[in-house]
Amino acid sequence: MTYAIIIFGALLLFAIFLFNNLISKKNKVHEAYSSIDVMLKKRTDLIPRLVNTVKGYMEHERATLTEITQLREKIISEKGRTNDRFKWESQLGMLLGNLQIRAEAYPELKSSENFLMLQASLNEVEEQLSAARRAYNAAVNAHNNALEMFPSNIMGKMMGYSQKTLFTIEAEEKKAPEVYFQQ
Amino acid sequence: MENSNSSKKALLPLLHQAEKLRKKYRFYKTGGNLFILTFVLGIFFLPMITYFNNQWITEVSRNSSGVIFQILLVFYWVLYFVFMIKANRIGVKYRKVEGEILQPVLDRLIPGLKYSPIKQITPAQITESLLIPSYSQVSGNKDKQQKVYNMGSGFASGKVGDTSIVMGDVKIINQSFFGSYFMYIPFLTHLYFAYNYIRPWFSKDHSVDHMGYSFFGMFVIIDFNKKIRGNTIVLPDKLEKRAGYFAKIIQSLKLHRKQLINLEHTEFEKEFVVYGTDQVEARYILSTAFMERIVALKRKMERPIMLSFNNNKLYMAIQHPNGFFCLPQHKNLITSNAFELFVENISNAIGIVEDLNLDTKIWKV
Repeated sequence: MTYAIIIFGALLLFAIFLFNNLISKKNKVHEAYSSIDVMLKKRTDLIPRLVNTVKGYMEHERATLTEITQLREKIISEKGRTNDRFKWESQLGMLLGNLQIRAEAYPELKSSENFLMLQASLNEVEEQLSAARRAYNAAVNAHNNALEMFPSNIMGKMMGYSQKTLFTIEAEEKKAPEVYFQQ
Repeated sequence: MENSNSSKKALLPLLHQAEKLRKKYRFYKTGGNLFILTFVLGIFFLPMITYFNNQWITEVSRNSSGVIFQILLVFYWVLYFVFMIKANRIGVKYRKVEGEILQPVLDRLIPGLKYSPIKQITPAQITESLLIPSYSQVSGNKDKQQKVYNMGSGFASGKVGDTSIVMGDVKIINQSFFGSYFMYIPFLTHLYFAYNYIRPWFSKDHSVDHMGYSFFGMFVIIDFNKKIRGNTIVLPDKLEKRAGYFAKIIQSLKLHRKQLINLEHTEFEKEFVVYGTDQVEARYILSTAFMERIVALKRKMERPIMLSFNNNKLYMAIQHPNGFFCLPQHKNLITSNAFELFVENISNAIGIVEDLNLDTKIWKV
């Protein structure tokens, strides 16, 4: 009888450990996801200043600037729909990258201190965003591993947990940006 | 290579002077260290010997007044002091000549880098780097934390490009281990103490000068080109190669470190283990390109390297068997490649700024 109680107690403790471990991993994924959110918000906040600074110089890029502004407004107004949001954020990142490359063709803009400050901030945010995405992927990886490995997979099934999706780069984002120079 | 050859020619008279002193210094230093080693071993083995040979010792001491033993003991201590005093006196002269050789070498490698033989990397700077673990019973209470001591001196500072660099020779004694919870484990602190004294005699990566020190070698402080709030520590991963997947489980117990950071760069992960206060910030610092640079630097140095990112500074410590800013003491300074190795060590240290691309601040306005 004593042995049975000891074995039952040990099994219970182990089950509690597995349960807590899975919850901690799930929360880490949420935490990492929210840090991506913070970085994306930082980037979105920089856009009005960037557009205001460059619009005087980059007359030929008016279409790109309008597209950037529209995308930003869309992201702000439809906050909750995460799937679409990440797609738009991705497009926005691509457009901002292209805009910075095209700025090379405008010497006056390139020498503007305001633009240089914004460019520095934007690049800083992009680097932090990339770090946040990597942290998110690491958290998802640990979570998914726990769900596949024995014996936490049994506990995971009992808790109704499912695999989370890794953050991947869209095919279009992988393409090298094209560079134009004014004749 | 050509550069160090011409330097060697110019510094030949000083090298001859240093070589004479080196031989004497090494003789007395090794002798003195042997006395310490026998003393440390004696502390450990004497109780054991007396316990197992109790009968024999009682018989011998019954028929003897113990004068011979006392004379031997006095002789032992007198000889020890003679060796240590001699080693100290010659050591001072030797280091003076070493300093005279060092400044021209630094001037050739990078003008503007000033060497001072008296200044040192302070214990506060070493503690701030978080590279030397602080085992404290009362976490957060700095006054009660046992101190880290630096017994080394010799310090060069200046700029490489626009980046400030401070590098020095350190001989670190970490006493926090003795004042921590570990002291309650019977014999553990005694074994740790003995380990620091015995290890140098049997390890390829150490020299006899290491005796009693937790760390011996180069310590560099460089301005870091990214703004950081927390701290991230990169240490050599000794466990990963031996224990594979289980290493991660052991490392995640973290003991006295912060969170374990698992990175996706396979080669980097094999060589290093990373701890930090923030998962995102650690990845912000350790971008894929930066990790590749660190791996390349490790291959170039061919030694374990430790890095820490704290207070917008990069701290780096690399173990050197003969000390940094020191001519290799186990080699002849004239006939061997000792001087070339000395120049190479310093040149590699200065090259860290370029190797890790720390002078690039294109995004800072």
